[in-house]
Amino acid sequence: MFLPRGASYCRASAGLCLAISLRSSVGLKHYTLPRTRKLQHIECIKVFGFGASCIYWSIHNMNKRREVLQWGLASGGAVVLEAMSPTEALAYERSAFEAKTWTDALKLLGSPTPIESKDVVLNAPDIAENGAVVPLSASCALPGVKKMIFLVEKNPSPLSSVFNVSEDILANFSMRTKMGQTSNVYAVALLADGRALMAKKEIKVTLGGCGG
Amino acid sequence: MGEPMRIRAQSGAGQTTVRILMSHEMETGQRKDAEGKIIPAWHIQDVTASLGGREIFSAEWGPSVSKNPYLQFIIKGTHTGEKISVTWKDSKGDSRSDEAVIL
Repeated sequence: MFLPRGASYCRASAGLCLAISLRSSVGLKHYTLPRTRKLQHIECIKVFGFGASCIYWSIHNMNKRREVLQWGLASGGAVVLEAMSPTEALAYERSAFEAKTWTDALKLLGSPTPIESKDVVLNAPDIAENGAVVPLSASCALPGVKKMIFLVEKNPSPLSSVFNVSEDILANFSMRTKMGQTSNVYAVALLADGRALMAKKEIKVTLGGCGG
Repeated sequence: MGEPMRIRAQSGAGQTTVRILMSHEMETGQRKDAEGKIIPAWHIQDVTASLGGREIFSAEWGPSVSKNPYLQFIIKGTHTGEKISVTWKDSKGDSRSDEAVIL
């Protein structure tokens, strides 16, 4: 290649830098795109990167095996970084807000099937006169709660909100959600040990809050 | 840049309760206008809060959070006199930050 011979580390790190800079420049652009397109863009970048590696491999396979190996390792490293990129994690989590069933939404958030538990307390009214403003609050006194998730089963997009629990705050949140019709509401607590516990309550809605 | 948030943070009994009222349309993308055209979704997506410059709270919201969202969370310990800062970002890329002193 164009780099001086013997500068193997130089070459490997150049490959890595190139891949990362390409990734981050495109990453900034697709951050402002609508949510559904984000994932497609990430896929495109991956396919492009893989294709480029393949072409390089086929050209240099015959006489420069060591060099190819270095470039290969570099792009491999870049792919690993790519997989751990926070933008992608965010886009992945964002797609959960478009899921059409509450179980799909939980799967997209990386949650196992939740088990009903008395350790999660969901406070909500039995009857909501106005579906546009339904107060919900949920708490979980167990240690190691990572996330608290609110879902409304029969809403067009069931996932309402996700709260991240840090070590400085309690797993205790209140908010107000919209409800299109009478439905089950779930509060799911994701624990650090991988368990998912939930509380469920049916709320009757007399006036829906989603349509016009 | 929306209207200012109303933040009330009060310490007592070993914990600090933070109540926030934001001003935002929280359009779902489900409603139609008078001509029958769908009004595009426009809602707060991310909310973060920090205490003395350190992030202590974050949340991701969908369009089904009510208009002019209300939020309450509880910080461990008393923090009277410290500053809490809250920031939201919406789906159009707009954002707003406000601060309050903990009572």
